[in-house]
Amino acid sequence: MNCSVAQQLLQLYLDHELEPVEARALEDHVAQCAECRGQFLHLERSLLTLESLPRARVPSRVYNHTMAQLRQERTSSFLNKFQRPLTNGAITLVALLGLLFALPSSADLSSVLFTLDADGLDGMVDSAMVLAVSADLSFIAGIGMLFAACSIGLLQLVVRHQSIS
Amino acid sequence: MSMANIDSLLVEQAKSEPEAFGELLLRYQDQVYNYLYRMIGHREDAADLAQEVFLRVYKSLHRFRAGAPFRPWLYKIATNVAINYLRARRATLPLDEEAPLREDRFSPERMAELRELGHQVGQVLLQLPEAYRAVILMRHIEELSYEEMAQALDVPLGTVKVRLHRARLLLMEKLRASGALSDGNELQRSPTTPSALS
Repeated sequence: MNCSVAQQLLQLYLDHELEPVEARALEDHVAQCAECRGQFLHLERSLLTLESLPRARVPSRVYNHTMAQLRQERTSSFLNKFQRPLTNGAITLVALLGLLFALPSSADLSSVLFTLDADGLDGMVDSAMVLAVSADLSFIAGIGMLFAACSIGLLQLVVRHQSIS
Repeated sequence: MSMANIDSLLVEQAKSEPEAFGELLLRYQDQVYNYLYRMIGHREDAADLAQEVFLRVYKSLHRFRAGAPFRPWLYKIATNVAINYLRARRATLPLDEEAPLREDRFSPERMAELRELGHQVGQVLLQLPEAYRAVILMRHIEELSYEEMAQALDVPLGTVKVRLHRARLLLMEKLRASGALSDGNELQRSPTTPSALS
């Protein structure tokens, strides 16, 4: 074995990657060749020095800050994921409730109006009072909810439009 | 249960509950921090980068294939983060004071020696090209296998070996030049040679 071959094999030797026959041949060469022996020992010593490099202590903020950020990340992504379905669900629900309250009352209302026509002016006064009394809070409530549903919907559209732009 | 299996389990759990990610963090923060610290030479920034690494890992957990090896992937992210940092800080980089050491079981004199050695060797490492520094640290400090290194660096196994060999030679030259190779510096550990060579 010559020196140039030996030098190439030194590192493989250090990594225990040589076949026993090759390793033996290298050992024989290094035993006789001062230069290669010197190279080998320096290389080995470099690695020993390197591997004895002391380890630094991890600052506690690595764990603490990472976990804090991670929890924040999780909350905001949860909100993002569920915000639209939740809001849409809320709008739908409120709108349905609104209709539920308003429709029956509007039936009453229209029947009162027809009565107005039939009975003439006197009837109109009575009917007006009936209207006032049964001016069904539920009807007002129903209209109110429909209005609220529309507002929330519009608001959401505006917010989303702003956050995209 | 092997290390890799524990990692896979923790990764799967962490996909649905963040607190499980804390376990992965505790397992790997020492490695990642030390790797980053020796890559960039600045302890405070290394802590910032470590956080960034783990957050990136967390955010991309859903993309992580179940059962795939975790450590190479972790080091891939850590290496990218370190390289980006180094490129952004090209000209500057005065060496920070040495970080507090993890070991404290030695005498004060020995601790002082170790700190000094750490400083010298750390300096030499920072003189190596980044690609060489990375392989040296992965192999000899964090003890990744060649296979793990190949996966982390996204290069063939042969490339890892060649790069490592060249890196070691360069390291050796620089260590000799810096005088850090004098007797008695390293901790007691038996050399690789059989008695025939010494």
